[in-house]
Amino acid sequence: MSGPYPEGMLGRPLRIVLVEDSLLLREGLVRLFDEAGYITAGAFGDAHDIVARVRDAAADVAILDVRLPPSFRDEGIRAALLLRAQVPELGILVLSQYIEGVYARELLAAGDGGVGYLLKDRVTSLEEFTDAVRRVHERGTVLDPLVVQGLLAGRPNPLAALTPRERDVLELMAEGRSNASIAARLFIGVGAVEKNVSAIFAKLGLEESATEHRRVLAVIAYLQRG
Amino acid sequence: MNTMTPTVSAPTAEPMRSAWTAYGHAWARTPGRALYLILAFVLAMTAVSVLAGLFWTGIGLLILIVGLPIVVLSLFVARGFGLAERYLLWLTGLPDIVEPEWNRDENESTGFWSTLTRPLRNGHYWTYLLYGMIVSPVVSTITFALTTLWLSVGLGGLTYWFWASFIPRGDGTGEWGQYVSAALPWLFGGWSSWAVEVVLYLIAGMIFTITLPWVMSGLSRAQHSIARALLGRWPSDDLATEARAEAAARASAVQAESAGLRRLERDIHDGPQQRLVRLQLDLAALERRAEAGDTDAAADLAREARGHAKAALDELRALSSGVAPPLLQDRGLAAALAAVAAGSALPVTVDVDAEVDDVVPPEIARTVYFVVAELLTNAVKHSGASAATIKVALRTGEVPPILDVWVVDNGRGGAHLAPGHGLEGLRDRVAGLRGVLVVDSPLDGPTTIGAHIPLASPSSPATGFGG
Repeated sequence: MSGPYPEGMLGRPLRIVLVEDSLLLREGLVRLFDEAGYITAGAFGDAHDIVARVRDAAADVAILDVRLPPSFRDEGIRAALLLRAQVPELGILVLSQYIEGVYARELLAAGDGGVGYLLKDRVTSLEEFTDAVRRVHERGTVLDPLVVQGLLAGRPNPLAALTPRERDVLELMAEGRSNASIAARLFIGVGAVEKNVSAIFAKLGLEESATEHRRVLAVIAYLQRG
Repeated sequence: MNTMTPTVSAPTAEPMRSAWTAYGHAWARTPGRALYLILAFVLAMTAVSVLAGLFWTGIGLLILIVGLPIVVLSLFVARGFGLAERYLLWLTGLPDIVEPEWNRDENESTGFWSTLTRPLRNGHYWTYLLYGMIVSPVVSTITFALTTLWLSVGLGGLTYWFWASFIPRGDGTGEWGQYVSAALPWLFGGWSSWAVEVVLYLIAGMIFTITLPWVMSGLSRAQHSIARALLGRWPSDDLATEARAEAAARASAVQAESAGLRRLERDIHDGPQQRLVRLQLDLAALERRAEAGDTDAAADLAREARGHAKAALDELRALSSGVAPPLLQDRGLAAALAAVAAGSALPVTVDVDAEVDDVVPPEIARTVYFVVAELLTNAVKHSGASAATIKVALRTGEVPPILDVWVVDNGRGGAHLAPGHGLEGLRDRVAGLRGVLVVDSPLDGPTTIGAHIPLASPSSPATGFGG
């Protein structure tokens, strides 16, 4: 994998707004943004008036926790959906201590890419973190491997026809990775990935989609159907 | 004992007819009641002799310790006689006398003296003794006398003309019929003494026979209400029973909870805690290596340390979702159950009443969540089912409202509540909320398991809708 991508497609450092109620983690994440070369355009402890705050900060990407004041339930998800509707060009990455399939589905359904949902643990790796930020910024989709595992758990039957390699590729596709990224992960060529993808779509009876986000949606929808 | 229909002569739209019907009913009951009144007398006489003998012997010997067990024994015997009396009352067709609460205070000490003297501290034993030794002998002597009077005059009077002819008579002088005809010449002028006696006996017999059902009914009822007052339940018994149910519910809740907490403590100790200790060791080593300038070793140690931190997080996440599933906290029961269903290996149909999330308090929602999750896991593991249904409905007609939770699968059935079995633990959890778990699982299925939980919090019965 290549190194950090501080500049994205804009040719300038990305501006990030962070919403995280724990001061400890907020400080840690801001330090991580610095290390990654991002500009922290705002760091808040709650999602109050989030749309205005994001606009004022001229943010490229918003990173949100799920449990936030006042009720510590799913404020972060609601804020993300609101931002998706009101600030469509914003990339949104939700970080949480736990993963719920329901939230993943809601975020995916909210718009055409540019969303991510990851366990907080994943950001300990600078490389994984910057990769995720870059992908949501570039209208891609980022899903935590746990979401995909949750979808795969307990329903082996429809996937029995896949080879182990195809299954690996399917999981990485569902996480929202591009063919290039999948190829790098599995140490195979991009051509081999494309072949596997075609085989998977043929076996599962899915249509190949134009964008990565649509591809994720198709795969997720298939997995949910059980 | 059967519950007989109480004979109540209620006034209706047709007074004449219903009066006759009531009279007919009373007649139908009369043999039983008469039998009861006679047998009750026999029982009372037996009881008074046995009980008085035992009790006063016991009292007399109290100064020697042996008197105490004898007094206690007399109380137990009184209870036995009271029970016999209540069984006899079945003959009268009057409502059953409900069993009183014999163990009013469950959490007493179980020491020798405490156990021995427990009946002495229960008022019911004393009223049974009072009834058997004093009240019932007096009352049933009176009722027995009246019963025999009515029976003998009624039956004897009606048949006097028959049986009196077998009794040798004198020449008529000194017989009471003569005095009557002499006293009432305008009525019995010229009648023989025999004829006067037959007619008067017949009239008396008719009067006593006609009134027999009422008298039997009245006497039985009088005795029944006295017996009910002394042998029956007191309002405070219901409180005692209620308190006991409460204590049982609390006990199973505490048991389930303390088992859960013990397991959690062990899991934390074996998992994250060990990881963090190891992490600390690794970080200390890392510090030493970094100070010594050995960067390669330091980086290795840092990598390892991160692995331990990540593992500790994974373990903590698994533990906390076992304590409080995030989605249940965030979105409520309906959403959480839908997620459980979606995550199941079986196709599961979910039907949850819309208002459930508004009225079900969090502690009940939590129990319902875990019970349903475990039942679904059981269905997947053991039943061989191909489909399952979760249904959660609110019965608002009841006071307090009842939450009905059903998990149904089409598997092979045969699930049952056995000690040490998983369902037993679920039953404890449900019982902790004063609910019941009903298992219906015939061989060859389907299996229907229902949890029915009252929604009032036990401490404040007035507020049906908590949290």
